[in-house]
Amino acid sequence: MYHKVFFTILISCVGAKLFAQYPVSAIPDSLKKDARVVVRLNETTYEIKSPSKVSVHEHYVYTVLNEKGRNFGGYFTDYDKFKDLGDLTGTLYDANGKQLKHVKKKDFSDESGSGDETLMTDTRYKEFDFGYGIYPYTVEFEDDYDLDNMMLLQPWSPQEGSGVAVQEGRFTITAPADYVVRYRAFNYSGDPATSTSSNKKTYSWEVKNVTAIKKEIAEPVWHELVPYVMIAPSDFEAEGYKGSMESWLSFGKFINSLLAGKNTLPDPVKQKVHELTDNLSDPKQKIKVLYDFMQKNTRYISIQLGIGGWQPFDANYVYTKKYGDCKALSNYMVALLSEAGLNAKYVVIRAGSDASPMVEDFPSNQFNHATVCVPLKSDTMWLECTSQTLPAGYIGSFTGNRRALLIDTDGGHVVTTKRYFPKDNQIVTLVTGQIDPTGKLNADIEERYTGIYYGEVHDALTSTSKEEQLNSLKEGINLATYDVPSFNYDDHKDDDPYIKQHIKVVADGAASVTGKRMFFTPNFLSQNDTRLDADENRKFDVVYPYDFTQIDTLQYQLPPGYGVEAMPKDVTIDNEFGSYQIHFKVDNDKVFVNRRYERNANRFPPAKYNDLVKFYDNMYKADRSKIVFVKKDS
Amino acid sequence: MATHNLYARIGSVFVLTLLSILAIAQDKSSAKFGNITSRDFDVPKYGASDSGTGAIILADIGSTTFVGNDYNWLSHIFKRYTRIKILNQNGYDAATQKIWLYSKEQSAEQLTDVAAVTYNIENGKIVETKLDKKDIFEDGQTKNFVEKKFTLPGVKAGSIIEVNYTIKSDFDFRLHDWEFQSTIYPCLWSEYQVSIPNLLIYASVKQGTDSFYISKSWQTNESYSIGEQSDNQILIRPPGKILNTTVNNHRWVMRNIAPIKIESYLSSPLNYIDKIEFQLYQVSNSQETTDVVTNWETLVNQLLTDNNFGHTIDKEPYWLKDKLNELSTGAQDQLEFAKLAFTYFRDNFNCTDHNHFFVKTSLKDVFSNHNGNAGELNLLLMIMLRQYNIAADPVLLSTRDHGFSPSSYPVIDKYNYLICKAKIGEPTYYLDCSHPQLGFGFLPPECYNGEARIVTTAVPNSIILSADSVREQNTTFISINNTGDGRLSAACTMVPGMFQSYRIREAVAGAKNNQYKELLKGYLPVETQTTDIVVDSVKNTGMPVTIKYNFAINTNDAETFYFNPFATVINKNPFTTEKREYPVEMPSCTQNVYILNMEIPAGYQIDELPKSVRIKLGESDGYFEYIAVAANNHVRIRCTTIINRANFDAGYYQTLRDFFTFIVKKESEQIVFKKH
Repeated sequence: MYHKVFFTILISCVGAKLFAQYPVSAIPDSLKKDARVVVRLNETTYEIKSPSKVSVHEHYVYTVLNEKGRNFGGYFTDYDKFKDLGDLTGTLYDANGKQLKHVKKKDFSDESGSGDETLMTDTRYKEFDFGYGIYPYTVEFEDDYDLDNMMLLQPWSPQEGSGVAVQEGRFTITAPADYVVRYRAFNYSGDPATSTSSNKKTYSWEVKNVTAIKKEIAEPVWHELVPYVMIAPSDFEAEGYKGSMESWLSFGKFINSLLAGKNTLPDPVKQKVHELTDNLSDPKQKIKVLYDFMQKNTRYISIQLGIGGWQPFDANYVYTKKYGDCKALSNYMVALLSEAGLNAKYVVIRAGSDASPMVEDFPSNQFNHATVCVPLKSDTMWLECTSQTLPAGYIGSFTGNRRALLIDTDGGHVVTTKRYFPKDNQIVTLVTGQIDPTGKLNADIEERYTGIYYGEVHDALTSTSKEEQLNSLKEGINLATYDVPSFNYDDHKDDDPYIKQHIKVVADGAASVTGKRMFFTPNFLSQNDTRLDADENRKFDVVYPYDFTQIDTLQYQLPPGYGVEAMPKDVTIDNEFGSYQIHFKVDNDKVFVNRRYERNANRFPPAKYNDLVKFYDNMYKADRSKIVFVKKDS
Repeated sequence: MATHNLYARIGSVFVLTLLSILAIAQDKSSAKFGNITSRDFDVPKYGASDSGTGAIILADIGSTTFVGNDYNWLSHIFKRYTRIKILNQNGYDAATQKIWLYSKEQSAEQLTDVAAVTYNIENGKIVETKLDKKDIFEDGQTKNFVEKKFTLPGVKAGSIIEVNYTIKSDFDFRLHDWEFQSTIYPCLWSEYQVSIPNLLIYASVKQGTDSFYISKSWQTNESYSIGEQSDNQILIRPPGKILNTTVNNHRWVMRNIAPIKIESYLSSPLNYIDKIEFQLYQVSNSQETTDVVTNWETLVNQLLTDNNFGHTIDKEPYWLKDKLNELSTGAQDQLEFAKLAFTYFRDNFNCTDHNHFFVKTSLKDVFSNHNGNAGELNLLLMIMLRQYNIAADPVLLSTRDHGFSPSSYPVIDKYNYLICKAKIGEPTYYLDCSHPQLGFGFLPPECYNGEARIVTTAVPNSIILSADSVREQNTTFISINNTGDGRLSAACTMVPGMFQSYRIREAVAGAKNNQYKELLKGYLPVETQTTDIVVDSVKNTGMPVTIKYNFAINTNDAETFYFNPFATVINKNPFTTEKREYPVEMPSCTQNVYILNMEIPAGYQIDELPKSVRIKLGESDGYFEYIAVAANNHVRIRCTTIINRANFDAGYYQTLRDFFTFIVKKESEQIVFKKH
């Protein structure tokens, strides 16, 4: 400890002026390869003083090699009621290591953490950007803070993105010798070095000369690629609430303690619940009715203050204000269902369509959302309480297809949310059209969305005005110029909900006329846009997280007096990524196109990547196939 | 949001004028706080009622009056009352109110009388839910602004909400503006009334496309009781310290205003929103009258003596000497020096902020930090040029997304950007060294937004930087030849215009690699794989970039071979909507030239060739010409699109859309070859 203080003083008072610090010449060439930034040093120290206090010291030195690394030339952190920010300094060096500038805490900007998403929070931001104009240059930042809530512990990951190399990284945790420090390291060989002195045990991880990673499309989650240490408390305490993360069961108990006493419903709403459900016998029907009641009488408002980041506002609050965040609304929903005699559970989860999957064997606070689960005899219903419009039981890509922690009376249990399979996730398109001799197309389009597509389309349709709906619709129509004389949709909020859209399109010049011929691209709706660059040196697995099926059935009446001169070739692709078929047929004065595209969610070895590139290329071409019509009498 | 202290107090030549009183049927909104009946819950009808809006603003009524304060002057009181009908969940955001309050030194704006109520009909009865004062949050935003915010309780589809509040302000220059038009919801009644004592003269400026339902002015006489605080903070209110003065009253009402529409090719919707703004113009106490700012001369003089502007460029820049000597040794003349200095600042300084121009501390600091906002960097360039006796001056402008700057109306807040004007010999150059990918003498597209102001002690002239004066020239040349093995090889050379070259350069240098690929995609044929892609002249910022690549064409030995000569053009009409509300503001004029020279595939002959054609846009606003000829075993196509204007009225929209419709149709025509 004393040694560290002495060392720090030396740097800030004398060291920098006398000795060059972190000259770029000291970076080995191997670290500059594919790099925009070299982390010269990342030294992070957690000192666990008690279950409710951790002192953190962080020391970062980044050399920014070029403009692509520019966002590493500054510092950004958040702080709040639980994170007491102490000293903060920053230093700028030129390529030779000559100190150019030194800044202190007062020089950092201080900004509110609330915005459009959050009405109020005690989170604030501190930020400073050297933004130096001459590359390469080096920045150094040091900060100290105390955490009064170990749920805020962050994983250590010195390699903070693609194009970032690490020269030296060290992560140290010190804790009372009898405190169980919990960690889980990825891409780190061996155990951390440990030492014990005067009742304190120290764990440390060290990495040196880690080369930069090139960004790859559809790569696995970041912690699978780089040295990464997750850390979590055993016993911990926040604002007087005590808990342990040693198991999911114990973490769930802690969440139970935050929920305790929050579920009391005021009498009028109790009466309402009975009024609505007492004469219903089917539990599913009761859930639907109560979910609908909750949706119509609440809205999402996020207020996050202190322990309120983890603890919901109580049921009475939600009832009177008619608003709450995910926690408050979920807690309220559980209370409503309980009043109706249903056994509903509060669930914490990592939400988002591209959220990284839960690390199941490491109980820790990996969640950012709360939701509700109602286990029933035959199946289980999931209720997303922040939506005012989704049908009961629909969760889609926001929380579907993943693990979550269900909070039962005895504690937490890992559960799997609703799984959406390729047959569930469908877009079925029917087009019936006529082309006139000027090339004008009149088409009736019907599209049916199910599974995760249902949620995407539902959100787009319910959260925007008619005009915005039309504008977003137009992005998906690949015609040069056209008008949409009518557009409507039906939202079928059933157990397996679907949306049916009806669109009329009139497109002048949809078929291009050259002399006696006409050229027409029949598949103007479902054209796959993706094209990948071939990569002979693909390093990582290809992770494809979506299952789906798209079926297009198109039928066009030829312009009178025209016949077909040329039809595109049928294409069939079938491989481990999925399958694709497009089939063209002429029958008298009609052309028929059948397209089916199916994908499997899976993980594929790097060697398969170039097959995926080819898959997309072939599909790209086939999707844009043209039919040639020609005047009959000529 | 932050208002620069001195220059916010600026007026203009437009003084509130008396307008005639309109003869009208309905003079007042029927909405009054707390006065709700069940009839008010009927969904009101308004013009665009099928728009799917989430809420309707039934009434939005504001007023500003003045009272005497305890600092020997006047404060203004802004009152606002709003009633909103919530129709569905898309209108819930209307129930959240955020109010920004300004403070400086000892004085802070005060929010008082906050009352907010939600009304619902439950079992046939109107139920009120009141906002709890505890639920009003205060959030520090910047040094001078605090945000007070709350959301109404009890809101659901069908609710009516009412919000009432008062803001007291001691800052004369913060007289509240009024937006009659919402960016999201339709508004049935929007009203603003100001009652300004003759001691303070404000310029009022109205913008927008809708007209007033009521606009009337009248005068009254008022007495203001004024107190004074002595140095030891004791309030002295001498008896009879009363200011008697004439008060200018004005009331404006707009009815049934649809929300502003966001359209493509619109530089900023802010230019078209219905709004009244106020700028302090003249202040008089009982003894004398002081012009705050009446014209550009005064504004420029104030700027030139400001600590964060003029004073920073006056001082002898001794700290520039070494760099000056270094740069001048490499230069033979003024132009060479200017280019060297420009390149030096551009390549060795980072621009941290393209939205401000005031100097935060000093230009010396900017010089040693190697970064600064766009204004700071261009001022640094300017003083360096002046050191070499080049006539260089700052030019203030407002970028396109920041809105137009009104010409006769000198308000510093309307400007957010500064470039450097340099007269070297006869030519005048406009320089911007804040973008690393921009060449000497070029400005980024966002600078072409109309009037810009030269800040000099001489008569401050304005210049017009109009998109109509910029011509974006895109040239594509494709040469296709038989390779002898039944195939053809195509070589393509494309030279995009300067604006697009600048975007490509930025994308190449920038962190987002995908952005570059996306941009480049627009230049590559969609249906074939390209090889040998080269982007040339990326570093040479004085020239457009050149994109070159090859691709192969295979006839597949087909009986009939169809060839799309415009394979590299994305064939989509940029104007997708059927109707247009606001003018079309394109970033530049257009000149596209596309030349194809193709050897007829071996073994084939031409069966059909697209017809040559030429159409005009308007009388002389542009044309499209397509010439296809076959000769000497070659097909030659030359296609030219010229648009001589960047800005078009909304009324011109259909003509413009039809012009593009014609182009995309023509450019999708194909050449048909048949085997011999």
